[in-house]
Amino acid sequence: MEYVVQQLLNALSIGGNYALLALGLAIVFSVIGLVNFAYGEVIAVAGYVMFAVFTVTGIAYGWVLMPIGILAAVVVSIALERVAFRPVRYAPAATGLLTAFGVSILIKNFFITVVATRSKSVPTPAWLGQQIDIGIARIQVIQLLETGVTAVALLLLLLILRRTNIGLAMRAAARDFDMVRMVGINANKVIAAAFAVSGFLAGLAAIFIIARRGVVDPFMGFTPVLKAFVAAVLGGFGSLGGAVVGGFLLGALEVFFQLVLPPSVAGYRDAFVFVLVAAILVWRPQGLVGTKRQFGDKDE
Amino acid sequence: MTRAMLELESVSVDYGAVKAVQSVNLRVEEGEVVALLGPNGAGKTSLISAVMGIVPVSAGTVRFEGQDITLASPEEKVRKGIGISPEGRRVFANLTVAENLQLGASAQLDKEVRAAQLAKYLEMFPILKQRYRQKAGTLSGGEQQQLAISRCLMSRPRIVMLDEPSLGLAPVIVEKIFDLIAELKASGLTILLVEQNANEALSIADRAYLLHSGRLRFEGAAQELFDSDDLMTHYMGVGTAQ
Amino acid sequence: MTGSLRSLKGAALTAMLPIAIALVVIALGDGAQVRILSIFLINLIIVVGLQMFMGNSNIVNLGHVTFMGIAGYAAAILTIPTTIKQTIIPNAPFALATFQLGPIEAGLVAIAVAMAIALVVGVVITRESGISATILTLALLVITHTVLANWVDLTRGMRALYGVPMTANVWSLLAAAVVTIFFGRWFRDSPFGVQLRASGESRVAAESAGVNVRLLRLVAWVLGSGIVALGGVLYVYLIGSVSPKSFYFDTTLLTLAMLILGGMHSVSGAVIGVVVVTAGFEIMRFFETSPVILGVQLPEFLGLTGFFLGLIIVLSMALRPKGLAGTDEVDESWERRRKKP
Repeated sequence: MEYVVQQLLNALSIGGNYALLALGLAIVFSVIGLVNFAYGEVIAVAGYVMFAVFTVTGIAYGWVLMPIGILAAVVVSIALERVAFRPVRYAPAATGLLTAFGVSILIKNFFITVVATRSKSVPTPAWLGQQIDIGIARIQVIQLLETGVTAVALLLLLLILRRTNIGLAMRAAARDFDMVRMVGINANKVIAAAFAVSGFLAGLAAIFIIARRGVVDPFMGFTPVLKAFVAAVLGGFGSLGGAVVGGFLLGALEVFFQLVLPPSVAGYRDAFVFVLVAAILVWRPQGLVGTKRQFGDKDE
Repeated sequence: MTRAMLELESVSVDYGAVKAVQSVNLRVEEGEVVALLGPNGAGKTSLISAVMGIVPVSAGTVRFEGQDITLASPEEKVRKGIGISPEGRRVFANLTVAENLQLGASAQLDKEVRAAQLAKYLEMFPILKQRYRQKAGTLSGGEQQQLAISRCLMSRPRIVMLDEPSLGLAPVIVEKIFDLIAELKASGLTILLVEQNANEALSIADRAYLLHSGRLRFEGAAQELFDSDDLMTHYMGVGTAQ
Repeated sequence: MTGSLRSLKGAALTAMLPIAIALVVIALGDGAQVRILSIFLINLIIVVGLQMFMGNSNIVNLGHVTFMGIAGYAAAILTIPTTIKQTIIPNAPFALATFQLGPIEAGLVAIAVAMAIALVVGVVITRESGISATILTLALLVITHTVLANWVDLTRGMRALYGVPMTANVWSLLAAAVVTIFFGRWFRDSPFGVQLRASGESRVAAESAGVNVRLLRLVAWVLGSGIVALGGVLYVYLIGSVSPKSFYFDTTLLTLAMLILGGMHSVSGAVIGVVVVTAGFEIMRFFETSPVILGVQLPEFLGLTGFFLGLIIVLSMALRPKGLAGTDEVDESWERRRKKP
């Protein structure tokens, strides 16, 4: 029983991480149709900024460093849009994709050149790994935090999207971007807001990724963004609810296969997960939560 | 001569090699209702889109209250006081009526004005009050049209452009929409009305322009166009004889 | 002039660039540079193969390198001498450790295997459009890589299979690259290619005109995969060893970048993309003070080189969103310019 609870929480915390990132991708895509391939670098920037602050000031990982990381992520996300993505805003999808990819290479190699290829350690406080007793099981503090923070972040996002004008504007822009401009809302503001939210989510995810790994390296953003992308499409790319659903589902699938596969085929875990993902997409190409494209809808 | 509120001078709109609108001169005075008529494909919506800034103006000038706004962005134009209820209504289907109206008020910074406009138009369009918390996508065509019109009025614009408000609506509903437009006119609103439905538009407009294949074919008093069977049959393919 | 003659001339024009480059490097370059040229030619084949599917059907494909890997491994396993195989993969299934084939037979078998798998997978993938299809190609890449990395009896897992007879030389690679360019151009201008490109604009319009979009995409997918498979076979014949790392994200993203940068809608674009990226790379490397590493593997983006590559990509996309070559083949845009008054 305890085992089940532990694994459930494991799935929740991993899934929550994916959900945050998938949401970050989905928000940007829903507003301007860009697949932000450079998203992983936003995570890396958050990590390196925290590392830099730690190196210079000696402040250990904790309540001071974390907000700095999040802030860095938000700033870099908005900056990326302003500098790299705005010129290609109305260009075809492949162009945007490649621009994002180019930015990703740029930033990765910036860190390689300026810091190093190898990973650098960011010491994490010991209390994160501590086990606590919650009655039915013993779990790690970090797992609890991760799940909790994800839940709070999602709630916060929901509030912003439903209650604030800019949140309304973002939701409207996902439907009809030009019309949002025709009611007098500044296009650039809406897009910057989407990137800011996206950056915030990446910063949050980065905190937990680093807390688990204890190191930063130039390639740390790649796998998370890949998983985020798969999760978002699984849920229905562009759909915010879908991103969350997709994220948790992917996390659950990974944990499930990790447990279920015998050691001889444990290495095939990724393959199993992707076979299942492919099967789901073949069955429902619009994603689990996405709406089916009807005849007369704009073409791919 | 008083300065016109909206002035188009030799405006052309090209899409690559296709000349959608060629050298159009048009003006709307304060308090007027001006009809812009023409059959399908005449270039009316291209012209309106260019005035709004959604598509670029290839040549010519657009002036609003004397100011050159040809190159301004759509949001800037709205903030200056131009409202638009676009072709196809384009309500935000995933948002509620309330949220649509809230967004419509974005260009209006004065909270009291916003509240006043909301109250005014909820009264004028009671169906919106009824469906206030419903998603706009669930409204009927006529209801969406009312929403689109109210939405653009929320910021208290100086001029509104109504692009094909009767499109796709049943005749009974069309009646109702034009009744509402007449009420708006009576309240002193300046309106540029783009329509295929010449009869209804001319019955309510002060002046009219006729656009065909991108060029202006007629400009004058609405009554004149209404009475001229030649022009109507020739360009619109319809007679006005009842 | 007739359509097919014009295609031929166009392909010849496009092929002139790599031929010229090759001749210069072979005549004047040293061993290391010929090596880089060889890799360049293989990349060319792969990117043209990628172009055949992506450029004509407008779907971002992340799975093409899968077939490079499948064919590469197949060719390697079939041609490695039995004595070596007994040592490194003694338990290989289908008694593969007990016999070996010559390079040409092995190559043909390898490409056939890859294309067969492409057909089966393609039936599923071509059902979808847009981003769903892209994720399916991604799934293909990950699944194949996982299998290659874990089926230790067959592939030796993450460790390299070595001992492949190095039967490829720069001339055979050049010939293969030129043939590929002609083939790619033929496909693009054939009824298949033309209809496919039209349907890329509007699937609904094409289907209502009676075009079987799905079948066309399948044809493009299988043929393109065959070309990429050829690239994989030649790669292992050049390098003499193979490991799963060569067939994963680095190669995928590199070739994808080359195609989109050059212009995914034409074979000329594919060629230009490979030339520009490879040249840019080598020029950057020349200026970096660290010692030149023999390009045994497809080069990784390290340090300043990578930084400037990223910069080039971002600037190019901002200035030429449709790719450096635009949407037309080189000869097509020359024609157009000549016709203008």
